[in-house]
Amino acid sequence: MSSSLPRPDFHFPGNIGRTFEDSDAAKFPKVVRPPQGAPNVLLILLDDVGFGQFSTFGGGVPSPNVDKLAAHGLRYTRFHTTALCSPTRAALLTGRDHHVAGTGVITELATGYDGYTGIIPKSAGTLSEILRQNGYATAWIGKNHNTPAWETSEVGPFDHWPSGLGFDYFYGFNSGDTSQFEPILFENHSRVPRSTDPRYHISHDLADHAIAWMQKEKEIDPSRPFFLYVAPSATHSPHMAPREWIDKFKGQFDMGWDKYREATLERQKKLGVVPQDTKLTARDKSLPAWDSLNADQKRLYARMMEIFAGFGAQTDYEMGRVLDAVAALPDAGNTLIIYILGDNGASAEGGLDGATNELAAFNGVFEPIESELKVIDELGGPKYYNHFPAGWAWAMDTPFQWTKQIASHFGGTRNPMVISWPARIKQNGGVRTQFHHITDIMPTILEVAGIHAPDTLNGMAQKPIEGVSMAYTFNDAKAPDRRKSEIFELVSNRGMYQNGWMASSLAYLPWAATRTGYDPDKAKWELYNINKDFSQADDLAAKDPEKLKELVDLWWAEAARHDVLPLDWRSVERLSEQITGRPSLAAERKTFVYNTPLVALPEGSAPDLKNKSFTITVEADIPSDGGDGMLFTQGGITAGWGFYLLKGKLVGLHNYIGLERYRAASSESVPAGKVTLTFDFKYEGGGMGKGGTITLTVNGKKVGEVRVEKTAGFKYSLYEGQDIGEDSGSPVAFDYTPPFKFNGKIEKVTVDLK
Amino acid sequence: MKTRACVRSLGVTLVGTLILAGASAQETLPKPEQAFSDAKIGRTYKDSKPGTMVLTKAPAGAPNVLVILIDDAGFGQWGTFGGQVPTPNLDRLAKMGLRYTRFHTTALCSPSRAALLTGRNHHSAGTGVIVEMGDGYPGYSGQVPKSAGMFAEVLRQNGYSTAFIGKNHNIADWETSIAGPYDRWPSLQGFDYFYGFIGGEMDQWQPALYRGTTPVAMQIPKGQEGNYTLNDSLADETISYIHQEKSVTPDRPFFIYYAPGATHAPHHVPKEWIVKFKGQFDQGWDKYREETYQRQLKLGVVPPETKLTPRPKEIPAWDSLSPDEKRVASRLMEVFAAYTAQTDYEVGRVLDALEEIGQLHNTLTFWEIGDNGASMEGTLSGAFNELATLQGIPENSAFLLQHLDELGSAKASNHIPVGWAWAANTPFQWGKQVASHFGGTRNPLVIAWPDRIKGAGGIRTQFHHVIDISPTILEAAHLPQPTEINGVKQKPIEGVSMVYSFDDPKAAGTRHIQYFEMLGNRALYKDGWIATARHGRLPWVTMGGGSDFDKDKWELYDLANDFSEANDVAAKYPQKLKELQNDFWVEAKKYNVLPLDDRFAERGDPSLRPSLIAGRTDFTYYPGTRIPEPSAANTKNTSHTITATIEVPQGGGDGVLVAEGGAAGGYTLYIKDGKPVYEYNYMAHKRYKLAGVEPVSPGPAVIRVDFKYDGGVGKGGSATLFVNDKKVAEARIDKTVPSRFGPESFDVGMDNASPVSKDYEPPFAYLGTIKKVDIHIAPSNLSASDRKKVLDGARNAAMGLE
Repeated sequence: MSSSLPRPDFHFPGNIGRTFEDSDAAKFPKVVRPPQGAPNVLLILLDDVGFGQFSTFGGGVPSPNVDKLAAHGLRYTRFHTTALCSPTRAALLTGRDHHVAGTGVITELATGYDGYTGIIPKSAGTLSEILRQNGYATAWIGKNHNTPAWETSEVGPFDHWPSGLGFDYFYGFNSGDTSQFEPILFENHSRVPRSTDPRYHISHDLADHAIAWMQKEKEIDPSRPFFLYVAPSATHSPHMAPREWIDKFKGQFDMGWDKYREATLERQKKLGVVPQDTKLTARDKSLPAWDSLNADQKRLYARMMEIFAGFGAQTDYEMGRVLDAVAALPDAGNTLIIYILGDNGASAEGGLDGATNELAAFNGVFEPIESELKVIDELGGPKYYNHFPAGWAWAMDTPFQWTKQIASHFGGTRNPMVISWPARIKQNGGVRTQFHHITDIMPTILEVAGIHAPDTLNGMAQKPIEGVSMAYTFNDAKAPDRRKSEIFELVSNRGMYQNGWMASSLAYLPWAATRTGYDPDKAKWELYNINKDFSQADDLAAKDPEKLKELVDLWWAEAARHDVLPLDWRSVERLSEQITGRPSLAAERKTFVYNTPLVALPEGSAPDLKNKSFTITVEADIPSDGGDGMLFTQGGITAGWGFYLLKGKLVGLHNYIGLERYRAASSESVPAGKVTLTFDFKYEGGGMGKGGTITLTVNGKKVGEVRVEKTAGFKYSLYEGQDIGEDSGSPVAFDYTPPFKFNGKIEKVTVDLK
Repeated sequence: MKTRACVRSLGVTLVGTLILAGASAQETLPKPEQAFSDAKIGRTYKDSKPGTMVLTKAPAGAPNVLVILIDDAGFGQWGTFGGQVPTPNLDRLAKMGLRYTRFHTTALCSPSRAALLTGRNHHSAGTGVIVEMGDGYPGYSGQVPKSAGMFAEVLRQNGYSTAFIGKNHNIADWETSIAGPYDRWPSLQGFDYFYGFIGGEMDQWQPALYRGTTPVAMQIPKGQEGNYTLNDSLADETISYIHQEKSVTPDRPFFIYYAPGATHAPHHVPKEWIVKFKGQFDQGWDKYREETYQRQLKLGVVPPETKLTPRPKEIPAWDSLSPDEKRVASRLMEVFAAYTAQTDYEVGRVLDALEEIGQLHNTLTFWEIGDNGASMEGTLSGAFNELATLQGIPENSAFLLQHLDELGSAKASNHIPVGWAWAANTPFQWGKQVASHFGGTRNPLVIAWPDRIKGAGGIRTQFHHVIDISPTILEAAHLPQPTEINGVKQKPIEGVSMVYSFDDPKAAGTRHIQYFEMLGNRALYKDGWIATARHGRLPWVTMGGGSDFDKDKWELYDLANDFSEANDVAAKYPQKLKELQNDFWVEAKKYNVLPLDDRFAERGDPSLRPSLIAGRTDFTYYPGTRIPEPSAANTKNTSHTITATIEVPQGGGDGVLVAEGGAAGGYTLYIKDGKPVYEYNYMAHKRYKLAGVEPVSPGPAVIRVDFKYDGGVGKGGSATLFVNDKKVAEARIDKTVPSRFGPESFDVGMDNASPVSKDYEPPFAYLGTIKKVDIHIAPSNLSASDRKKVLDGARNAAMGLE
């Protein structure tokens, strides 16, 4: 039967005469409600989490709240993601392969091929839109990494914001990560003012908003079920957590990553989340053995892991508050909770040494360990955008090989999941081992809600949903798998699963800086019998070349069918709008005029100040008691520019990826009244990330100058952008405290690119 | 003969529609997905070529569009159209554009707004009456159907950025809470951005607002406290939206629908504006009409042969008022004039901002003065608290005199008397609600677009209607009306474009027929003639209604020679009248006007409509809650218990635990100086307070109010305040509000918008922890006649809030 949404307009079924007296009684259309018994749905998706990270699945980070949920529900041990965040999230929301959902890779790397536009097509309608039009209240709290980068500014368009994807309510951030202490948040389409709470942490805030929304829905309309999607920024970098959480883990990771893996596998076996014969996969030779590290390295890496563990434990606590709030609802028993620990495996993006500033790597810079050690006591706090080293990421993915991005192996794709639904799931504390995938969540929820996916949604014919419902497993641990096969691909890392077999082909090392030299036709394929080899420890490629060939051929067929082609393993080139032809709101403009204080304009929608000369001209009215506050800034602690008045003096500054701050300042105070202030940067040229000179003027008179040795040439921040009149995210320098609102009046800001 | 006339009129409308649809190929929205036809896909990126990703762009030359809609304003109110209130900013826009002198609305606000936004007649857009009075007939559901898509959605999907700033009275009561559904909120009707209020009216000093779908408080800039009203805030928001759009996307046109709450009641305005008008209305309304009429003749906004229509006998002559009554009425009008002048000033700031950034010339601006005529809902004597008078709670002139200095301030919810509304509608008969006559429906309109409209300062006299705005905008933007939007087939647009009139004052009008209907008042315009029938109740009479439609008296006017409907020629042209009467039924059938229905109480019955509270007696609320009054536990006319379970911090902590309503009426349970207080604000006329003597000890506490009701409607009862089950105060409350406290909300943990009590400054957020607030309501056992009284009151309050 063909079906479509929205429903047709209501038509009064009775007779209408000239007046009410000769008409049938009026009757309103019934308020749309899902079928009787449709449950509330709480879907929690953590960010960058490995299989062996949290205690519920044997990890070293205690997660008492997931333990409790698992004790009242089911643990799924063969559940898979796409190995990267935007793709996993697009697949989750649409029930289609991430490429089919236009999101073969993160939105920042989009290209003009169907599988890689970074735009979820309207023909891949979302779970939330279908639920919403069937009477569910819908909310999305937390990370949104599914809006094309050029549409994330406050001017929209909003088709691909949560509101355009079927969510009544959104509270969260539009980027791959965010400072946990100083996030740029939106509520629906509007920026949320910075918190004034000195103890602010985003995980706490997100939990508060999830709880408040749920409670409000239920107090106003208790009979209406909700779909609440909670996607915290944790435990993605930057690893920032309240100090008291970090301190709980002091000394607990001194054993190092090799020992951690062994201990974790033992715990996993004991818990029954891996088969008893599971082998621990070997450490790749490119990763150092813990015992080979010197004392400084050990001290730094162990500390970074303590911070990560503190962050993880705090995340469990905050999500636990959401679970407690659900438990207090009048219809708690009829709430389906799906808690997915990670949109991909743990992240090795910190490199072999870890990083105090994740953005350094994005600018092609790797910090020496000595400079990291200098700030070791401040890591985990608001000043540093730190990330732990690859060795720990690998350990978090115990017992598997590899990490995030590596879609060929389970270290990238196999994530723990817990499902609970007191009204329907009978077995408490059970384990489920059927092979499933992130695309299976949507059909599962639709099935239990009794809702059919429409063939046409909002005027657009729908591509078929590719996921397979998992509801059949709820009350049958031994039910045979209903998912027979699945293709994996992420930045050319490839995998093909079919009926218990898996072919895997790695494209590059996740901790390698370069990807050149890759050839998909020469890349090595491995073969695993997953039914007997849970962790992909025994490569059978040589033993069974026939089987391998069958799977590799199938991979190409599935790849063609799912818009996976063309394979593209480029990295930095794909960040470039010039190379990819990706749209930008700032492209081809040389002059930008701002007539109003404007904040949180994403970096991609703001004038591109990188690798060129530019002038910022501010026409302002300075108060009689002296000007103070931010005039113009791009970026923050990770890198960027600042142009501000500090106690009357004019300051211009470049933050070179947190390693160096080049600062010019006037010696005299800027006079009161109307003034014209300029910040001129002369770029030396000679390639990317080179130096130049900052010159400051007041009413045409030079008041300060500084030579800038090096500039950040690729990216200032993943989450904060340009601000005028205040600094909305993290500070670009530490001589002021955000929001650092300008106390005078800005008439106009002009940015001229040379 | 009759049939042929119908066919002809139908034909005319159809031709208009066909021309529009034919302007370009049929289009459905959303547009098909971008096909990467230029992409070449191989196995890897090396043997592939990416497709071009293009951003949706508006057609070349598509202008910015600014639609300004003033609320409750008459033809003879603003200086630009001869009124006594100077409106230099409207003058300025008129000088660079055109004044339309025969432009019409529906005589009520939700209907005019639905018609404006959809380009369909109000009944066709499901909004034959205000949303609070909706019933299940297609023309009256209060829910704009998806088949009548808003032009905002068409613009949005064609590369415009779109914002809705101000009043939104197009969401049905049971859908205004944050529990949604949001299908009929601006975000799903084509607007990227919404900042404003939901409902018919709003306190201008302390409004309850939304940004998108989020409840927010109005931010008052430092230094402007006591001087900053919603009018300022809406202008500031509009300006900052324009600045933001034009700095980030300078090439993208915007559409802004800017609908101030002014000049609807409450007439709130800073004192500095009021003093400017001191003594200026002492001449009274009869004189005012004569003076205005003379000015209109001089300005040329009415033809030279126009007659001033006489005062209906139901409105008292100014000279018949006592000196006290005159004093009160003059002051009310001074405040109203100040409010009007301030509104003009604030809109002017938006025009200034456009001019400063060089965008005004490329902006198609519609400034519509009124969604209906001036409002006669303030009763014959005017009101200090319009909600009181609407619910039958009287205010005599002695009472009004006592409060003269508070008019316009946050303490009042004042409204002008009928006589002044009638004067503001000069030269016409009647006013708001009365769709049969131009006092209700003829509103000034100015259109400017310097880049395109030459003949600046001109006057246009073609007969047009609010449904004509939408097709005008689409034509100006070179956009076809889609046949399908988001999967829903579209009803044809019923309006006709006015673009043809931009360059030619003499162009023959393209609108040949238009029906009018509101609450049984009806009219039919056709080719220069109009037949009118005013039905039943006077617009300021708050109870009653219900009479035979066939006994209504019909009048006939020859508009070509009678601009103001002064000479009834029904007796002279009975055939013409008959023809128009028949046409009325044809049009009524076609646009879902039927069945005609003048019932009030019955239609006010919430059980006819979906409700979020029907049948519930127990409610649990958590802190941070803000719910519109109609969707929150209804404690009126019944015994009830309010129980707050809290945690008092060490050292105590003050703030509101739960509050409903605001300065105009409501209740609040709060802690001040550590002591619990329950206060009942009876329509700002009287306040009852129960306060504990001892501070509540730190730690867990349960604060409870028991209200034992006497029975009946709006009667009294006894209230008892308990702390941890121990009685701490007790009092009689003589009278209670029967139907509606006002436009504000039910709040937990604070008192949003204006304060119920004068003893604190809002929001007065509670500093301790509120676990929950439980409300239990005794099932209502009102008699049938009492029930009708409540419903009448609710309907009238809603009408006022309209």
